[in-house]
Amino acid sequence: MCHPSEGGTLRIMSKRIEVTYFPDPSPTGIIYRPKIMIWISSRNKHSRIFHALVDSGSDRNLFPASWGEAIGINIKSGKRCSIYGIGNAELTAYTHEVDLHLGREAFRTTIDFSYEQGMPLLGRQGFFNLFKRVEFREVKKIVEFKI
Amino acid sequence: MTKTSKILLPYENKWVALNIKGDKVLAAAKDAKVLSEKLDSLKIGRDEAVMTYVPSFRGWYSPYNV
Repeated sequence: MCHPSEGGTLRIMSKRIEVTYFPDPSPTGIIYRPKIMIWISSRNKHSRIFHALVDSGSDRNLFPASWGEAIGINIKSGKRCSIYGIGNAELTAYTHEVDLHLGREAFRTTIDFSYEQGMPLLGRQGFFNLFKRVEFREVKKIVEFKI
Repeated sequence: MTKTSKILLPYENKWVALNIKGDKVLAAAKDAKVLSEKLDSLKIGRDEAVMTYVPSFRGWYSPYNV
């Protein structure tokens, strides 16, 4: 599963996963972002494969509600919480436990789902803390996860 | 600009399904659930597409409130 020439390539080694940055359009032409291919599941219902942004500035995982709904989760049945971000913005989100899949690995974790969020964000609690090491290699445009 | 970033230009603020090579848009929609359903109806398998959100590129992106 990869974008061989364009970024987003997933390379799985023993206890180590490398993902190349993904080229998104930007005001100056192009920006490479650490967007990685994952999928989520709950009670045997699986999502499609999608990109989520590895965001070391996010405290927790924050996903659009539509991804939870896509795997049959009743979003508003989750624990309600507030998420604060830039510009004093406050979002309402609902926390659910799901399985998050990256390469061949599956992790039980929690995700806050919000109707006000567009990009899926992988944050420190619930994603970064699943790994021994997360390394951003800016020159090579690779993010590496050590399990 | 790479081929992938170029083909994403018409899809600002939308969810896009790319083929595995990343050089073709298979479908697009305003949200991920609708796009998943579109791919189902087009009989595109789970291993044949990767869905990605295209944030606005009129300004720089910082997470939250998009």
